[in-house]
Amino acid sequence: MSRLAILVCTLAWLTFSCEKVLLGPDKATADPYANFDYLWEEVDKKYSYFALKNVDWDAIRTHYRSQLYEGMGEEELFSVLSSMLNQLRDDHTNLISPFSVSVYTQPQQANLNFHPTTVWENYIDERILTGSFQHGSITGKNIGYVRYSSFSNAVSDAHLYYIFNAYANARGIILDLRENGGGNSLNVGALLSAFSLSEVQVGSFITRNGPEHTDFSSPEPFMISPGTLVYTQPVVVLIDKGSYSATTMFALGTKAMPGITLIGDTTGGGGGLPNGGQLPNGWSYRFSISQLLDLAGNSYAESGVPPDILADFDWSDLSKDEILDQAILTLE
Amino acid sequence: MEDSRKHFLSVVQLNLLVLYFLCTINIQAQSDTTYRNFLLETSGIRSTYRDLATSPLYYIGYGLSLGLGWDWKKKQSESSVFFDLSGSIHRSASPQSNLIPSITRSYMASANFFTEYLRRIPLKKNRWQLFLGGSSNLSLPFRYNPSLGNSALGADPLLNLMGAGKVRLDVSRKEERSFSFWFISKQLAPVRRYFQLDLHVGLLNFNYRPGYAYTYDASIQGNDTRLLHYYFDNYKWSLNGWRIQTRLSFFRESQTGNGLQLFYAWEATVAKGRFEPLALAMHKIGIRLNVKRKPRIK
Repeated sequence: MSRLAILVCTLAWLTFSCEKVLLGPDKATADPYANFDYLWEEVDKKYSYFALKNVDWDAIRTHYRSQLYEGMGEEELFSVLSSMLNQLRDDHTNLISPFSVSVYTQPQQANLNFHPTTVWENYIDERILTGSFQHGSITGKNIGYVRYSSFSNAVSDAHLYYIFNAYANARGIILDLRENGGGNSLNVGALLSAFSLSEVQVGSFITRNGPEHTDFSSPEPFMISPGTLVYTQPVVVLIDKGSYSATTMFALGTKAMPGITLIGDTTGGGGGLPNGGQLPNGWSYRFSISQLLDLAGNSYAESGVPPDILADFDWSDLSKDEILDQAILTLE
Repeated sequence: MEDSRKHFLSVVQLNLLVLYFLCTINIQAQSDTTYRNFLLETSGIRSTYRDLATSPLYYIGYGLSLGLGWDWKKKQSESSVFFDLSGSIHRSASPQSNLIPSITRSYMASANFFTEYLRRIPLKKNRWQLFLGGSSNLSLPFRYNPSLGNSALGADPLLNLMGAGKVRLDVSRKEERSFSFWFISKQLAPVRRYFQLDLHVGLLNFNYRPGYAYTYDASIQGNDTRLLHYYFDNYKWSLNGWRIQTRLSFFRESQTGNGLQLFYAWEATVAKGRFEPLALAMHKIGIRLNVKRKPRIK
């Protein structure tokens, strides 16, 4: 019995004390140098736009690492790390601590081009809310207006069926994606499919797959197949600098689809899928790990998809939406 | 050339798997009296994990596990099949902060399917029994850590083909005994009981882990919105890492033939994958109920 007791005690001691030895040493630390190096290396290994944006990541390391010192406060460290990340000029890049979140804010640096009150009060007969969409007929025109404010909201076939039926005999619809900051990229395919009569490739994705800044996977196709219901009348899509990430994907997709016209301002960009990770001190981060390419293999989505017709909102007269006016003119 | 090599390797791996399962589940093949038990188990768990692909921090959590299975015991061999589900809530082992501690939470649900087949090894001492054989363990630890954005989801199937052994020490009371302590006196009936130590060590350790960047921009196929299909697009099987499982239990059989087992189990796994490893460890303390079924005689 005593031998058994010794065996039990030995086993229990071994499992508790040796667990982290077996699994690997604990890397949790608040040390500023360790956290800086960890973040720099993660970005170095996985960020997707170094070459395209001509970012000298080694020089950035030298510059910002020299600002560290032993015993520096957490707010000071946050400031150094977020300044370093902002050198990537990427809105999909954030540092998230319990006391602050770093944001590059590309859309906020541009002109706003959307004032919802102007649209709903001066242009639309009756606002109808169907699932993730708000829509209505444009007063005095045989044109439907559909507002989709976020790609985080689900795209349902049943809701699209209802909306498309409502404007089946219209001259066309205006799909307003201004200030749509993105969301679930799978909803992009679902919505584009509602305007495609045949299967078509509209772009592709490449993801970092090696330590060199130019190491990428083979292109993964971005395919659009016909939806269960397809809207065949002309479609105008409104975009601006606030149309970001998944909305940039949508805008790029329309370039390969006939019958869709983009009107407004160049989208805000966000062509890379952001990852997510954590530092040794527990703060979280994200940055782009992929690139969205057009059909010809060009990677311009990160700096935005240009419209087919450029238009700007004039904030001196809030009774009119010049971008919407241009869309109505195009459909007429 | 690369494709044909991969195809050959996958065929070899598949054959190994089939052979192994045939060995471990070959329960009824020999002529002998088979004593069958239905097993029902519940336990409290303390689990630790770290996925270096997304975070250098360990996550430590507590939860519950429920399982059921069957075992078959013969004079010369023992085998079992067991399935369990566990759930636990974890928090990051983050360092101290002078402002606001950066504690993040994650949630884990895990499903495990376990089989084993052991042969008895004759020993000189009657009180000791030794069994050696093999076991297989298929696990799906499914994790969700909302602080990791697009890398929030972690699902890494693990398949381990293991060498298995168990040592059993019989401490049964074979004759009636009287017991007295101060004013309490009692006749103690004979009872069957034993201590048992199980050990499983991974010999072939398969894991299905994400690609280089963990998050992957997979192809989009029109209106196909199956998130899991998109999620697993860049996962690859690897044959590396290790797994070890130990279990110490005390078994006591009632007069009806049913039994109760109290146990402490520990297991640790490292799934290296192709880039960064996932490490998991779990301590379990629980009770297993053995419900005796009619013996099957061939």
